[in-house]
Amino acid sequence: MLCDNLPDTPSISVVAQMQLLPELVEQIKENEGVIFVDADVETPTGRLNLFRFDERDGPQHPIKKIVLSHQCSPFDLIATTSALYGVKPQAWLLTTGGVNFTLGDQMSESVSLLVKEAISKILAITGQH
Amino acid sequence: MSKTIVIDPVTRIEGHAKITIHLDDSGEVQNAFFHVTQLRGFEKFAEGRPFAEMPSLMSRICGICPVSHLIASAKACDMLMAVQIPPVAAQLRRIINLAQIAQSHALSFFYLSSPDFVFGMDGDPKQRNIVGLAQNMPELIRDGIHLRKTGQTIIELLGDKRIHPGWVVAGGVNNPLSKTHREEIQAMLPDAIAIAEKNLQWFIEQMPRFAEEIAAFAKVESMYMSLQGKNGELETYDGSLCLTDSSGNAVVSGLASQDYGSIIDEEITPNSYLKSPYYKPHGFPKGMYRVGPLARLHNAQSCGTPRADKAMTQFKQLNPRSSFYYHYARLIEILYAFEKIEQILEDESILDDHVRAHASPNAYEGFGVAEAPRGTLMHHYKIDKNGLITYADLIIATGHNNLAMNSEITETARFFIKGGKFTEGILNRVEAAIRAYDPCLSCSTHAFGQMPLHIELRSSAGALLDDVQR
Repeated sequence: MLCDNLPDTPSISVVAQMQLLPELVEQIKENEGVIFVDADVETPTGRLNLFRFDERDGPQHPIKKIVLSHQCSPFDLIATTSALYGVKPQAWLLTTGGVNFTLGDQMSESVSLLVKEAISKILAITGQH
Repeated sequence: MSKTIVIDPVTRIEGHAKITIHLDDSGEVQNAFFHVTQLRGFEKFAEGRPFAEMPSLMSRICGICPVSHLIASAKACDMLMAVQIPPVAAQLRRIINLAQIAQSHALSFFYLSSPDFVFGMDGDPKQRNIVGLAQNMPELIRDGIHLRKTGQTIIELLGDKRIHPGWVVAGGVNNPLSKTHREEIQAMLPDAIAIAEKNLQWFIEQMPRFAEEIAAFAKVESMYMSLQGKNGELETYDGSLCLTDSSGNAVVSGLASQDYGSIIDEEITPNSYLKSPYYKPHGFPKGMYRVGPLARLHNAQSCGTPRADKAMTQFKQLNPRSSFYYHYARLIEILYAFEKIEQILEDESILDDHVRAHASPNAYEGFGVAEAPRGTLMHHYKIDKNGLITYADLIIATGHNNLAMNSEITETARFFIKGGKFTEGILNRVEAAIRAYDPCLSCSTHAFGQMPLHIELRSSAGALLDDVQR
């Protein structure tokens, strides 16, 4: 839903993934910045949380904890991109509190209501506003 | 007083597992066990579901090799419908399965095992990981990432998704291959083939450094099982079952894959959720065999692609008993997979749009067998008159290898642990013996899970004397 509502501009690539895969680093290294968007269980319901990776959280920090397997965390991808290619794209993690994680193809009402706000935040970060 | 070593969790594998090593009173290794401590249970909750749901449901068993389950499951459903799928559909399924094998092998070799090859088995554990590699030999990891990306992109171009594509269905595939996607895949292959060849050469140059491990991992004598083509060539999608001994003599050949039940039975052991299949005529546990890249190359007379055939000639001169060569075989198969895809795509008929046969169920029982990255994968379903699943049995590659993996860690521990003394490097070798098989525990126990292993050292009285957690 979020992907469908983001403007298609040459400066933004939207990649929809079921899980973060290690080979995404090849794509990340080509970009100035990356915004990871997901629902999580820690953000309060009905709220958006925007976290910006910095040097402390990013490539310099617990690099020894990188796990590169068939799925990765956003941190793994940013740290690996830096370690392998020597580039440090700016990175943000935009999360919304998930409500229902059981099988289904619809978002809950409270999460749906946040899509517009999430898009505004993404466009602000990318300078599209 | 005898002791037991516990490695828990086993690291750099796919899933949760534990190794226990039992020592006698003089500190010599008595026995070792590989325990899989997670349970999936797909066989049970498939019951009552419509058979046509099986490919997409069963592919959820694994996030690494979902395509392999799609293929085996769809083949079993083809048999339930009693249809012969269009030839182009079989070729398209073959391509996606080869892409799956290439990407999974790249993950195993480059991400999970290559730290041992670069830093050595006794290397500093703080460095002997993916981060150490990224800092010391980034090109190796970049190559691994690129090879995996190539495999995953091919899967995405065919199946529309990298993970759990729904494109392979009962009766064939959902959509034909477009000319544009064929060209996109073809454009990626020369680079992937060159990278695979380069890293194969690099690994061959590293092998003399691991003479001790090659010897230690060659203590287990087993048979080898795989699919095989009509002319004895390497086969990953179709063909018949073949079982050979460690000298390459045929034990079983030309067995229709759906007849595997005539030669294979399964035993359940109390210390693991992983079942132990064995070759029936030899009984349990003597009927031990190995599957996967080592077995496939041991059994095949040729690959059928020029570069992989050249590599195979050199490979065939080595002692196939050493599980260390699983890594070598994996690299040859990556090369083979991309070459074979290139060959298949050259045929214009691959763009044919008749890619699916439609039918209702016409048989009550169906079998699907294909080669997954880790070895032969078998799905067996029974349905009622309404097409609902009444029985499902899955024999997964990691299960086929269970007896061999247990023997492997026992022999490896006996080789390296003397007088009850061991170091971190020795325990890493025991783990490496398991990693050579690239076990996928999510698949084999039907698990959520990460990758951790746990080694326990126990006395003859069962007391825990040491416990290594990663």
